[in-house]
Parts: sequence; structure tokens; C-alpha cells
Amino acid sequence: MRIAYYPGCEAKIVAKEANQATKTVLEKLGIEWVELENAGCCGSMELRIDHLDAMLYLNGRILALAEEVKATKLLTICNTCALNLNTAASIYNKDEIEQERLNQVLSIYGRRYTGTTEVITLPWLLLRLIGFHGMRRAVKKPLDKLKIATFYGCHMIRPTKFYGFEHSMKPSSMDIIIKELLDGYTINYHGKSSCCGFHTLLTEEKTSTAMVSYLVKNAVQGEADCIVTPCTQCHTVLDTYQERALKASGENDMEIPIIHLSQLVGLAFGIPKVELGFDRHVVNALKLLEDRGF
Amino acid sequence: MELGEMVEVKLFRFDPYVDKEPRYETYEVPYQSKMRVLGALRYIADELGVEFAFRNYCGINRCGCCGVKVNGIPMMACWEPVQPKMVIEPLDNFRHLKDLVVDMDEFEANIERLNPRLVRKKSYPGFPEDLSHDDMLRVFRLIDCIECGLCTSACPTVRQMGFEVYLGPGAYVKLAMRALDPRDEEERASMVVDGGIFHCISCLNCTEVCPQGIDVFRDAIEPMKRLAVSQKIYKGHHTFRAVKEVIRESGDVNPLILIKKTRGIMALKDLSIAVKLGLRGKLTISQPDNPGLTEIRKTLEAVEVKK
Repeated sequence: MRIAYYPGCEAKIVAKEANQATKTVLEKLGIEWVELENAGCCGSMELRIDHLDAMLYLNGRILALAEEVKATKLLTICNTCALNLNTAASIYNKDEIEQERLNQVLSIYGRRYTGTTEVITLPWLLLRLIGFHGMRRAVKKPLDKLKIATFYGCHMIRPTKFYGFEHSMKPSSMDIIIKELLDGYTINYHGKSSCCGFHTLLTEEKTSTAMVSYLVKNAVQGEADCIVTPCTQCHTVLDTYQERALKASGENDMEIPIIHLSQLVGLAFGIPKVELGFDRHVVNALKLLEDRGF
Repeated sequence: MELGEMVEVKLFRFDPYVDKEPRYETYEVPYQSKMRVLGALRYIADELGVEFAFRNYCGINRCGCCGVKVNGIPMMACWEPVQPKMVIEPLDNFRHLKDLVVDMDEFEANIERLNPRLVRKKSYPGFPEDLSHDDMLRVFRLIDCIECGLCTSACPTVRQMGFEVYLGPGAYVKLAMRALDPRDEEERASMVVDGGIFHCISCLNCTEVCPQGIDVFRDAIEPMKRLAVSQKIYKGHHTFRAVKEVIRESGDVNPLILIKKTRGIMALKDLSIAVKLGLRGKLTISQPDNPGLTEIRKTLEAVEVKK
């Protein structure tokens, strides 16, 4: 199995720790992977609105790049990248006329797409491709001392027609990974499948921070130690805007560290904290981990 | 489930004239072949003699009045099969009137505010009109909307901010149905912005819960946002346009550059955030160009020509 790895802009420029942790975890799992270094931005929600075709062609190009390195699976650690890539794949993998249109553009610089790339996310990789035995072999340090609130983010589970891998309103993949594969403990709380508000951050910040405070308050009330997310965009908004969001809703001494799924998996694999970039979080995660003996 | 098995129903009960707060009552209903959630509710009312309020009419997923929340997910009671254990509650985001009945007045007023009617200034050309499948392609799925309000009840923006900020996806389905119609001649873009559509956080809950299978986000919300952005009516339209420019410049989108481009001096408001990020080494002032930049530029150029 050969996997093409596409980190996305957020992981390359802001949440570099997620990029680093994912690569370390992939190494540890012994997967053959290639990073798509010349793949650019997927266009996020903004380009989708501004120019749908541009978004589709840019993502079509990324799918073609994955095909070129002879990978059938394309792994991304950003939910919105997964949505955009899947939107493109749902068109170009099935519709031959659209595929030909894409190939007309790709042929300008001598590339071609034949419609074989499948887009996957990190929970999908860990659960479906690595599976129980592969994961259990790598686990060195069970996570039984952490109470974890899982946060999925929207575009990894919705729309169902792209994923259908778990329930779109009641997701469970990360809870299964943490409970069954990493021996951790997850809490049940409202907001697990809610939204982090990233996509209105630059235009309507108040709406965005209202989402953050709702989510963080629910997780803290459920007595979670930390929130774990598979998405770099969710991480950025929950981590960076947490203080501002809680202040705006009148909570001054609440705080909860936000951890990337890749970092958490790395911890369970016994990879040192420094290599996983825990020192790069705005809300201090190191203190919690040291308290719990990691 | 099989015949004779018991369905456990936990029913939300609340009468604002009598009760101080809601309570839950548990009933057991024997499973019958092809039993729907509504069937269980009817059994509780008719066979167990419980007096409680719930709406239902057509029973075939057409009238849109029996929406309830089953185990936390909004759905049509008449159309969804029973589950072995169910917590049945009224829809979120609406005022609770009694038991499972919610106040739909606000929802209907929101739809009305967007004036979802065909506005034709020229005289009617007579029937049948000269319309092709292509003309109606963007509209015909939206005509299926039954105004049940499930999408609006699942909307986190409405939950957090209320209808004053965002009218909810349901109202926009009705608007999009008219605004995307080739026969419509009304100026819709400013209406779109006034309803607060840019508070939509793109979570796709609306698409997931629609009982008619309408892709609410792709077919209604996105085209309406596109309309307002393309006509530059929304105050934040720069942000939407700037992403393409930033991609053209360096291939990847550096949020710092995006903010500098769209907010200018207003970016200072986020100085505290920038400092926080900077301290953690998360602020990249300029990153090397993406190695695939030439190809990315060529892709964008090619699309522009096609447009």
C-alpha cells in the first residue's frame, strides 16, 4: 500500500506540529508514503464560493499528482481539504466528460488523471487500513490516564455521500480509535459533531467564537482533560481563539488544551513529546501531559 | 426489529401553562411490521390513552408537519422507522409550545421576509413557457422543499446566534428556488446578505437532515453566497476573492498574508492573536513559493479563459 500525503496549507504554515506528528506516526506504522510537495492550496470554502471551477481544477490536479506517484489513496489531515478533494473526486472519478475537461487543463503541463485516487482522512487510515492488529502492535503507552473529548469537525463526516464511513450526525471513529486501539477514555458531550466555526472567522468573527465557546464549555462541563481533533483548521480556531471566545461569553478561567489526533496517536506509540510538537500550542498542553505522566 | 419486541419510547413532556420545566415519560410500544416513529406516537396516544400534543397529517413525508428529534437527530416522524430505544423530543431552535409541538410562526415569517415568489416585471408570455431542462437544472431539486424546518432546527448558527442574526437554511432554500429561476427578475443579492447568510459556518448539517434529500448547502446556500459575492454586495467579499489572488501569488494560502490583504489596518485588531501565534513559532511571515506554483498559475489561467 502506497499513500500520497497532502498536508494542506494550515499544516504547512500554521499548525506545523500536526504535519510533523503525522509524518512521525506514518513512519512508525511502517507505511510507504510520499508527500505531494508541489500540490498547492485546495481553495478552502472561499474559492468554492468565488470560483467553483477553479476549485475543482486545482483539486483535480492534486488528485492527478497522487496518481502519478502511484498511490491509490490520498491522505489529508485537513477536513476542508478532504471535502474539496472529495467534491472533485466525486466528479472526475465518475464522469468521463468532466474528466476529459480536466485533462485538457492538465495537459497544458503534461499531466493526466484517470480517476483512481481515493481521498482518506487520518481516522479512516488508522481504523480501516491499519486496523486493530497493526495499531496494537505499535502501542507502547496506553492513554488510560487521559479523559478525552473527541471533536470530529464537519467536513470529515458530512456529507454522507462522500464518506458514509460513520454516522454523519453521531460519529464514532475517533472514539473507537481512542477506546479500542489506544486504551483511552472518551467522554460523551454535546457538540462532538458540531462545528468549530473556522469558515466565518475572517468575515463574521462573533459567530465563529460563539461556536468555539459552546464547544469548549460543553467539553469542560463533561470533565474532559483535552479536546482531540483530526483537523488542522479546527485545531487552529479552537486553540488560538479559545481565550477570546470564552472571554466574550463571560468565562474567564476556563481552559482546555486542544490536541491533534496525530499527536495523540504518537503519544500512545511512545514517541517523545518534543518530536510531536506539543510545545507549539497556544493553550499549554505540556502541563497536562506532564501531570498525567507522559 | 421483530414482531412482538418492545420499543422503548422516552417522551418529552412540557406544558408551559402547568409545568415549570420539561420532564420525560417512558412508554413501551409493541413493534409492528413497518412501524414508523409516528406509529409509536399514535400507539401511545390511542392505545395507551396518554394525552399529549404532537403534529401529524399526511403520513407520507409530504406535508412537513411531523418533524421531531429522535435520539438527538431531527427527522420526519412519519417516515423514519422506529428504533429499539428512542428519546423523542421537539425540534431545536424553535419555541416549544407543548410537548412535541413547536412554534413554526417565526420560521414562516423568516421565509416571508425573503419574498420567495417569482417576480416578473414583463407580461406573462403564456403557457407553456419556453424553458429547457438546463434552465431549470439549478431549481428543480429545490422545488421538493416541504418547509418542515428540519434544516433550520439542525443549524448551529441559529442555535448560537438566533434568528435575528441568521434566518436559517430553510428560508434560503425557498429564496434560492426563486433567485436561481431564469424567469425571476427581482434584485435578490441584497436580500441574501440581509438574511445573514454569511453567518452560515458551512457545517452541512442542513444537507444531512433534509427528509427530501435536497443538498441544501450545495444547491441553496452556496449559490446564494456566490450571488452576493459576485455582485460585491457583501462587506466581506474581499476575503472570498483574495484567496484566489494569494494562491496565484504563492501556491499556498498563508493566513497572515490573507488577513493583511483583506483587512488592511483593521488587522491590528488581531494583534494579540498574532503575538500568541508568534510566540509559539506559528506565524510565518513569508514562506517559500510552492514548487508547483507555475502549474497552479496555469490552471487558474486556463479556468479564467473558460469563464
